[in-house]
Amino acid sequence: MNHRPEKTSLGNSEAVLSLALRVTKAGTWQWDRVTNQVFWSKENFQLLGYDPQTTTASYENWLKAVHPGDRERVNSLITQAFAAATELHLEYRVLLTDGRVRWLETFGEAIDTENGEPGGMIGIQFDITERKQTEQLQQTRLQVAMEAARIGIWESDLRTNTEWWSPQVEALFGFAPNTFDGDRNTFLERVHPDDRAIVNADWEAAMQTGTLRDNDYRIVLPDQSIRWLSTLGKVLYDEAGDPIRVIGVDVDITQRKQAEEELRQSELRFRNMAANVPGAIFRYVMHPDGSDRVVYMSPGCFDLWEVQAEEVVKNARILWDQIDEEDRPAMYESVLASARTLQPWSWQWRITTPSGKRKWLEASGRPQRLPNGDTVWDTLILDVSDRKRAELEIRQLNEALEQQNRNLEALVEQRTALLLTFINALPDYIFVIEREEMRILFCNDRLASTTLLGDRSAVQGKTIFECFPAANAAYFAEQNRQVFESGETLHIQEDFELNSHHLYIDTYKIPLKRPDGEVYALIGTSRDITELVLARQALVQRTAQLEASNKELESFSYSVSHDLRAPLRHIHGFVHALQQRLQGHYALSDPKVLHYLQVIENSSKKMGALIDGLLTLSRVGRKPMHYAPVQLRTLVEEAIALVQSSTETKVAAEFVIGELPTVRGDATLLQQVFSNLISNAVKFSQNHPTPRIEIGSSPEGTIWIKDNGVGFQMEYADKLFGAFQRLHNQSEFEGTGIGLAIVQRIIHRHGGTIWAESQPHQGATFFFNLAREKNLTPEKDYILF
Amino acid sequence: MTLDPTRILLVEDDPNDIELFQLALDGHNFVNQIDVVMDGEAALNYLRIGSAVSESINPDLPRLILLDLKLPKINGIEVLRAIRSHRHTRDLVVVVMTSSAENQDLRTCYELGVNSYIVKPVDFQQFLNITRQVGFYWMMLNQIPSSQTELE
Repeated sequence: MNHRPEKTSLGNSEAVLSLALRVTKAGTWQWDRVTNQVFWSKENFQLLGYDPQTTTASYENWLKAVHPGDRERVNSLITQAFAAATELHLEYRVLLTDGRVRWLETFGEAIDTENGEPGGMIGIQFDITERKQTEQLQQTRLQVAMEAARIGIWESDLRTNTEWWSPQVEALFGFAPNTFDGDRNTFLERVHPDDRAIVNADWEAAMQTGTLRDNDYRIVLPDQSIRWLSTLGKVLYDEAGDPIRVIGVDVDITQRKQAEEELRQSELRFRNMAANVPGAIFRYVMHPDGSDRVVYMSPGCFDLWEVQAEEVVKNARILWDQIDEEDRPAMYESVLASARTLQPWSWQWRITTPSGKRKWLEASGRPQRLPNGDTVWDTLILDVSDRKRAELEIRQLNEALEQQNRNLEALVEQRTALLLTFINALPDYIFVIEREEMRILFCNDRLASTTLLGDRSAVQGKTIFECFPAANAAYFAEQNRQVFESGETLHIQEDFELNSHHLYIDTYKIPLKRPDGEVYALIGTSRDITELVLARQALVQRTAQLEASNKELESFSYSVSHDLRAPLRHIHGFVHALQQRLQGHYALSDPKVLHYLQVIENSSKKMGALIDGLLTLSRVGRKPMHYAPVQLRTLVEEAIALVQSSTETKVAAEFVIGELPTVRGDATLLQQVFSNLISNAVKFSQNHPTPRIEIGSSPEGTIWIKDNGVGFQMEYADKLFGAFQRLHNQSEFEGTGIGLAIVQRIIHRHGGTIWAESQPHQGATFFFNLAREKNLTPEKDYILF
Repeated sequence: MTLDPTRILLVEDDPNDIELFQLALDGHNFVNQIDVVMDGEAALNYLRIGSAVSESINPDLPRLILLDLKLPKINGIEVLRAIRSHRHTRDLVVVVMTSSAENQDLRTCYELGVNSYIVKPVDFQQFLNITRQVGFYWMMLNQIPSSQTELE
């Protein structure tokens, strides 16, 4: 459009124009086509960064000032506009000499000459740097925002059915920039098959409502990855009300969707855990004013409190009310303390549920202080009734055990005291010595009394070196070492000098071994056998004495047998010789002479018999016993034969021999027994018209010799076996009184007994038995011990 | 040395016993001579087996020796031992006539080879009987080897 300059008051319009130009800092320019002259206003020079003094206005200079990046565009646009004489409107950058960039907006208009010929162009330009910067900033912001939010802008021209997509949208759909073909179907192809229907439905709906809203739908990229998008758009209508254009934004909500999904999973996980947790978990809040709430309670609530979780969330008092009244204050106090100190809280308390069940609950939770002053605990509660019961049982068991233990301990103490008393009462020295340092771990009073320390309590625990004189201790130590090293029991008899007494001690030292065989201590017992030893020594002495005595006795008997007998023999012999001499002598006719001589003869005979008897008695006591099986019958028969041959009785006695056993004894001595007893029986029956002597035995082994002679009085029976004791006088029955003493001595040497029964004039029976074989004591014992 | 068949040697220390012996042996015809020695040493000398030899003793050996055991100087056991250990007296008849009935004496004499062991009874009558029997038996009945009669 050509413009003619307004013909007003030139001066005013010029002044106003000048003012306007100054104020708006606009620069003007003119190009005269005809003259090819360029005119710049002062401001224009400034805008382009030139000094009007030094630079001329020219198209070249103008171009020079233009930013190299815009030069081509600017040149082309200006050239077009000049050539076509069209309007010029462009924005371009100017590069100033100091390096700054300035944005200018130029308006140009072609002017015709008076005759209508293109005369040139006039223009005006402004510094739009600020505006441009702001625009750019806004643009950049938007760009950044959109990129960051993964938002892309698109437009859909409903009339042409083409779509324009911003590069962000292209990127969202996996297209390289500027490769989208503008076809909406291409868009639909990328939409996930399952979501296409809804996308289309939303599109249709938007036509009606004017607002397009696709909340979540998926697109499938060429690499088969899935993106979630959300679309918001506005429908533009023409004057007729038909939709002509839609402008929208697509937002990549994939991350959000993922986050949502993760959150959902997390929620699910939490809900499951909460439901499965034994007991209940809940979040409890205490406000600064002391009021409280249960913000969350897991479903397990019902199992514990028989109340639904929701109820508790509505009213936390429900939980408090089930608590035993006396427990409440302490529990509340503990919660407050936890809130104050922010220390983890844990507690055990009893509740009574609505159905009347009694339970023990245990809770623990960590407090947190919120900025608004609330304290919140995430707490776990468990039903510990069983555990509590078990604890109670255990406590009771423990108490019972402890009581038992106490009883046992008392019993052990008792027994130990008893043992100790017993051990202390023993006359032996008892001790236990450990290997390491030879400490006396235990000893009885007896041993302690022999030490330097004296008292058992002082001795126990000390080493033997502290308890005994050095020499003794060293000696003991050497013995002990031997036991420790060999691992064998030591049994030794020793004698000691102690306080000028000679002591004989019999000691056992027994090693104590660990399961692996290592010796760790020894137990010892020592017995004072001094008495025993001394007694034995005395015994030996006595035996020697007795043996010597015996020897003397033997030689005495020997002497007697010779020296006593000889004079007797002489007496007897010479009396006889005298008698012979006196044959025919008148003296013999004197009865007194005869009588005296007879007496002398008889007396000497008697004395001989007595001596013989004594010698026999003595010999019978000293003779060594030769034990052998002896047939008593044989002995009896021999004794009878002997008596019958030596006796002077006219009337032979009748002998009846019964069952007689075989015994173990000395045959010679037993022969003597029978000889004596049978000759006695014969002697004392000699006045009986039919003397009868019976010899027999009882089943228990008692032998008896029975006669039917003169008998004796039982009240004198104890004198029967005494040496030289007689129960009849010589005129009735002659005898030495030795015979039965000899018999008794022999029976006693056999370990037997002999006794007699009688009634005067009704005969006598002599009984004897010999010791049973197992009771026979060896002769040695009989004499000496 | 020859053996005198009617000689008895009595070895006895007690004079009373000697007298009784002589009484008992008196009148018996198996003995003509009774020599008496009163201790063991004299007995050995008599038999020429002692340490001293006396020429005055009769050189003939007795037919019977009646030997008591209890003797001074050398006792009867030793005399018997000596008699039995010398060749020329070994086979002489020795009858021990003693008061001792000790078994030990009996055993020892037997071991030493005594011909007989008699215990002198206290009863004189018995003593007479025994002496006569002993004398008669050993002097008259008992045979001895003839080598005794030869000089050794």
